[in-house]
Amino acid sequence: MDILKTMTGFIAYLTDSNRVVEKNNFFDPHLGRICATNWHLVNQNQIVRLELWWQGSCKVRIEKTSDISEWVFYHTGCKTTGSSFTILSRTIGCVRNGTRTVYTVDENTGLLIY
Amino acid sequence: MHLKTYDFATGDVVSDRAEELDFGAIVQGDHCQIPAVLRIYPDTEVSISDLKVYLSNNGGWSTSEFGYYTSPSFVTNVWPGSEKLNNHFVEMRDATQGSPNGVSLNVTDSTSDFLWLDADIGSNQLGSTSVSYRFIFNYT
Repeated sequence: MDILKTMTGFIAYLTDSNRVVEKNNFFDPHLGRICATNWHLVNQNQIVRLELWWQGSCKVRIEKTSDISEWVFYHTGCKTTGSSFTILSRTIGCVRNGTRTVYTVDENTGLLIY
Repeated sequence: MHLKTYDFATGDVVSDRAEELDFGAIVQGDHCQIPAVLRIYPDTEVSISDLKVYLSNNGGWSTSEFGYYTSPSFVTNVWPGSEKLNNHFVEMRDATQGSPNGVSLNVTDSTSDFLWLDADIGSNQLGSTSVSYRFIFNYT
């Protein structure tokens, strides 16, 4: 559980009792390049719970229900000419009965933005 | 993400990874010498969506105007001051994801929208300045 003390990002719990923890800027040998996140490696059909953590605190938890057809995850980033790239926020969510609901956590403050 | 810049006359790539945009010679009371032409491409991002461009800093040149034009393909008849560049940015120092004033661009691995930028300098604007643009987008 030590990883959770400082965890920022998504945790996807799967039907086989495994979990996938967010990684950033890692080398994906299948794509043959560095990837910003590992969300594309998560089998969405196997997700039973999706959480969004910020600096060791779980900010959002979504449990799988039969009416969820799709899961959502993304970062929102900002690049200004002449300056370095920054992450503004991270978002998880789901599509439930055709309606998309997302929850966004500010990267600097940890505040939940509805 | 990274910016590729293009020659506005030929469409040839000027820079594969531009950090700053070149408007050519800038003089009071006139449009820039050349429009900046760019496309945005993913870098480490597996996907990019909902990308918007903002004028984050007009360099204090409050009476200058900053035009733009977008197209999914390169066109040659976009020159400084042309009708196509009549849409103008509004300075948004604190632009956020929800701001309505951003310019939307489609970005993919293989092809992305072109963006032309024009600077029309006010006749009373003095001194050197640095204009910056901000790109806000979702990615995984």
